[in-house]
Amino acid sequence: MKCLSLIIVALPFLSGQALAEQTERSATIEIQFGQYRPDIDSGFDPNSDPGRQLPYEASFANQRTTMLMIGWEKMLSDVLGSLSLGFGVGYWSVEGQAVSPTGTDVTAEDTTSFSILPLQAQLTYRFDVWAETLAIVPVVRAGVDYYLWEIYDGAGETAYFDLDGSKSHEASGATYGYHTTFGAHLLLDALAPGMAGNFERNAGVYNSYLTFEYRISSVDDFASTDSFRLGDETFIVGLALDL
Amino acid sequence: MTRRALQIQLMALLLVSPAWAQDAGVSNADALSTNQIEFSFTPTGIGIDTCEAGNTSGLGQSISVQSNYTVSATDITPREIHLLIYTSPSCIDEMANPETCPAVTWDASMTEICGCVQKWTEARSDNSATFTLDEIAEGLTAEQFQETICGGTGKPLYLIQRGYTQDADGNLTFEEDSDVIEIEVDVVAPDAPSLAPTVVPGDAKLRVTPNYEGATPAKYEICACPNVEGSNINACTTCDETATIPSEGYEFTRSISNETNYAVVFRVLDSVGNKSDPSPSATGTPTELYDFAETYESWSRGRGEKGGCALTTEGTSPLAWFFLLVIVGGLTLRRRNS
Repeated sequence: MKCLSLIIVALPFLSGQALAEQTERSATIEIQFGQYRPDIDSGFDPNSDPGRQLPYEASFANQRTTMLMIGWEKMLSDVLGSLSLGFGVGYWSVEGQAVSPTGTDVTAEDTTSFSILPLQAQLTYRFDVWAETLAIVPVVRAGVDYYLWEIYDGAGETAYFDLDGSKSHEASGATYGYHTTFGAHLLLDALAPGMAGNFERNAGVYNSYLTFEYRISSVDDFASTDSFRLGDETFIVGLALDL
Repeated sequence: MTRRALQIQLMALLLVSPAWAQDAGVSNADALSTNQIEFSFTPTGIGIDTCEAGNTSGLGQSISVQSNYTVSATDITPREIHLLIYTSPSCIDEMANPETCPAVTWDASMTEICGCVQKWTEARSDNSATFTLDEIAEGLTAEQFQETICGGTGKPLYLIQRGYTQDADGNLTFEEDSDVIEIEVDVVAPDAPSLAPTVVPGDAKLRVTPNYEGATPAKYEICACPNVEGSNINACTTCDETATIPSEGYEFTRSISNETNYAVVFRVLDSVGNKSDPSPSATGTPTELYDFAETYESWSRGRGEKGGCALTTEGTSPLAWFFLLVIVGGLTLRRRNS
């Protein structure tokens, strides 16, 4: 445990000399995971129907499930850190139980599920000017989001919003939003410089980072009262490769 | 050349020569295999219902086959194909005379069938034939039919296609046979299930999982009828047939209403369609349930989400175009840099 602590403390000061020359890098690819839960229930006042669970809570028991994101960024500038513009696409899905209209327990069972395909475009700033001596790189991101979503019934078919059975509004659509992200990227090259060198020569990967980020998103068609609230505050980990 | 070198060469020749011989054989086989007669599918077997029908009012079941005769593009020799049916393999030797087609015959004891049921005077890839059991059973009494085709031994029927070439005078010369296909005759019903199905009611549906202890059947028949008790469920005709049961159970929706109690049974079917007796029954009462969209709608009371800024057939939203441009632009930049 003591050794682990020493490594953690010393890691930032391990030589970051493996950081490739800034000019060599042109793009970054990333894969990230986070436990996401859309904040849909925040759009409703629980006191308006006391004793009855809010929709996401009732259907999905407030589950957080894994959202996968993959992204690509083009470096725009490397003056005083690096500035990139990128886009990403992800996938998230949750499965739950259909519920009684009155919220009471029933013997019947059925499933329902909700899937989101998030698209995002974002600017990323990495303060990596000291990366040669400090292997931890502070990161800030801001961007816009476009979440494509679909709700499924127990048969796996797209559900409908219409309680009257008219089936005129399919439960699929999309919602705009924005996000900001704060975090730190740990330069892995400092842990194994030899391996990093080989990775650079053989695969063209200049730097590898373990990423830790906290994303605050607001995805509700810019506060439209008629839209899903798909924002969340999510802790995300991942891997980023400078190419 | 040294003696040692000669030995090595001889050994190499010995090792290689079987391969040479084999290659030559393959080459000839390839040449022959350019003309191949195949069946496109295997006909359905004959089951209890068909056999019982033979006792009374004729045999409705028809047997369909399709010939697939592949002839090389350069070979324009006229061909004739005969479709033979038999119960004993010795029939094939007896069918030496191609002029007797079509003609189906029975042996003296009326227990073996042998003959040609169809001929195609042109070798085409889409030759097909449909013949009824009535046609091949012609001349048999019901008892003879039972004994011959539907005998308790479950003796199968065989079909084969025989190809002939035709000379200028119309004389036929045997060329090749197709593979033999077997029409299964099965007059034994599967064992009846001893356990009731598992029934989980849903919203206007029942999820039914048959519990069958025997060998996996070819199909299940699942029946559900409202408000029936005891053996009355055996008369229920609201049934679905399915070959596979999903892990979450078969979704039975036919004529199902909420707040009604249904009795459910299942039967198992074998590969020729013989049905077992029904299983014991289980019951379930479907109830209205809301999926997430309906739950959300019940809270928003008609004001909430209806699809938002979706990519719809009516038009693509501006932001979607923006994302598309970013993606295309990014890929273009990436390609230019590389």
